Amino acid sequence: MIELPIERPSNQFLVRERDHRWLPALAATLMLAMLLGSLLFLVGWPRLQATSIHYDLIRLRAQVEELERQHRELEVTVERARSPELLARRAQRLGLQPPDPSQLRVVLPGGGS
Amino acid sequence: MNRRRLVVVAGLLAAAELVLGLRVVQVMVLDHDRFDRLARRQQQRGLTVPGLRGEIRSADGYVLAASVERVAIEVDTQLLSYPDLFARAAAPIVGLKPAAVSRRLRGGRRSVWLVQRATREVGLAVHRLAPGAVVLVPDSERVYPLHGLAAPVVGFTGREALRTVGRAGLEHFYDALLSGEPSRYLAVRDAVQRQIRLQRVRSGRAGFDLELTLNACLQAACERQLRATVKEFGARSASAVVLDPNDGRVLALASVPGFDPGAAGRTSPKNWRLRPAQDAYEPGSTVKPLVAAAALAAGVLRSGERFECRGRGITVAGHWIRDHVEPAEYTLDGVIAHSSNAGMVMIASRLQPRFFARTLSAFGFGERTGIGFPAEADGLVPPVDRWSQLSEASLALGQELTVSPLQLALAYASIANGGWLPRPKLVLRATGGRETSAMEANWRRRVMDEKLAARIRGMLELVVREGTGQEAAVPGYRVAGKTGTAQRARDGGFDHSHYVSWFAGFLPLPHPRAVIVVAVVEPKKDYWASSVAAPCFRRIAAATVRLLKLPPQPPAPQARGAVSTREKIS
Repeated sequence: MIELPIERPSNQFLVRERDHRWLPALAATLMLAMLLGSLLFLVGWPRLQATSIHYDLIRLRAQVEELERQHRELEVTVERARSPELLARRAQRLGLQPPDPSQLRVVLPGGGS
Repeated sequence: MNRRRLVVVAGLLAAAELVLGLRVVQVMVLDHDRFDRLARRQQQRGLTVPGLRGEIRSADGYVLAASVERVAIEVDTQLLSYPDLFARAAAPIVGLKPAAVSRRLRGGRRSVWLVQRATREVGLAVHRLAPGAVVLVPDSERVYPLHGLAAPVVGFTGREALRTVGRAGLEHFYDALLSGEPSRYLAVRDAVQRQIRLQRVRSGRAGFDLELTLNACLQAACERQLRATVKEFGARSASAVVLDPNDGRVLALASVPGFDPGAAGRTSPKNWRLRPAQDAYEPGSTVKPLVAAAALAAGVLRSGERFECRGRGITVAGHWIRDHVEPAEYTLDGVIAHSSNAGMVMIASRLQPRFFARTLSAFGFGERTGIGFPAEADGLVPPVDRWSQLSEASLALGQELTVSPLQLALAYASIANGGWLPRPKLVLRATGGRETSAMEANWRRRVMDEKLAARIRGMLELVVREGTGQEAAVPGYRVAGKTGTAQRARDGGFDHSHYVSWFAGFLPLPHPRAVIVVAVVEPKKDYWASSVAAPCFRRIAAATVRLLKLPPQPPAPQARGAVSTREKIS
């Protein structure tokens, strides 16, 4: 195997220079990215919030329906408990009875009767 | 060769593609509707769930009927892997026997209602057993928190699939108003027919609420007193009406024996009747004040005229009509106060039959009151051309005609309020959301002038002060009223074992606020109104003044030089 002398390129004469165009390009890219980001944020965030609120609303509506159902159940329970017939029976058991009309006294606003 | 093969294969492929394309056009365009329908039938099932039925409330705010949300448990039997195991687990939760649940599941139908009107908790417990096969469908249950209170007025409901429908009473009469509008659901299923979700596609509307004029506490007091009277005298039934004579509002409408609307099927249908409005009886002597009003209006009586009632009766057209008053001569006031049959027959005989009949009609007898209740009785007033020679006398004594307690209460209301026959009001208003429909109040007609009404009021006060109605007196209040003991028509005649005891009156004078009518049907131990109906009236009147907060009245001023209503004949 014969090795031939090869002249390799050398960069010893190259002068490294700063490329002054990158800054505006970077700035423009960043600006564009920020603009796009802002746009995405402006469009996406409200939509995200709307979706989130929509789910909250569904949950709250279900909660309202459930509470209304419970309220109706409780109302019926209260009505059962305050039934005039039931109360009259309980009062009678405790020895109470309605007053005789002759026992009624009307108190007038002035204090007389 | 290769090229020819290629052309053949390409041609075949093109032809196949064309066929497929044509089929796609047929399925997607030409037969679109049919396939869409088939797909919907397979994947979706519409479900109509009735709106929550409106409430019925009393004027004092008690809920007489309400609806509460429940669930109906539907089971897809084809998706149940272990039906027997499911039946054993679900039975104790829904309160059925495992064998009964198994029978339902093995009935041969794919979709089975396991139970309806179950609480949400029960529904969820069953759903947990087989989530793929159990579907909870919104349902409702009609409840009556006060049980039997005003049950014949409120009525009851029945079921038609998931729909609750009024079967009797106001539930039936106002069914359309109470029902509301149904919600529409879509049950979406997958390819193996498992229900994926229940989606509401249209929201319904709850029914309108009804607010009644009834006072629940007064109603309870009336029913209590009627029950006590029925028990004491062994009566068949009893009715009571309390109404405000000034605007026709019905404050109580009691019918005993009643029933529990939550279990109406366990009671005889006879007890479903609202007797004060749906039954009519012979009114007996309670019509005497109306006959007196007719005689005074016709001018057939002389001032201070006395009627001879010494004979303990009177003969009319060959029939002996017995009188129970002490033999004496009575003035018109005395005839009414002591309820003299002979005196009243004499007075009625002076009236023209057509005028007499018109008077009875004017007071609303023989026609429906228009209270807004199903199957209201219109009563019976025979037309003049069918009267016998005895009819005028019989009608004057409250026989040969029938009236409902409500009709009689309205006639007495016209005496109490100065001559106006009111239109009764049972439903004050129907409300639901923002819509309100007020039931309008009005008078039906004027039946007498104020002066005549005052004169009749005076007679009726005398009945309670010194006549047959003394048992109806309420201490501290001026009460007016009239007793009535009527024989009931049985098999074409009247016998001596079927009576109706009446008391109709109002209080407190001079400005009555409540008209009360009590009718006790076929009491066994005693039948005289003075001892059966009058005490019951007094107790109801006492409850009325207490609950309506009516202040006691000073005693009635005695007219100077008042003449006796009767003169004993030695």
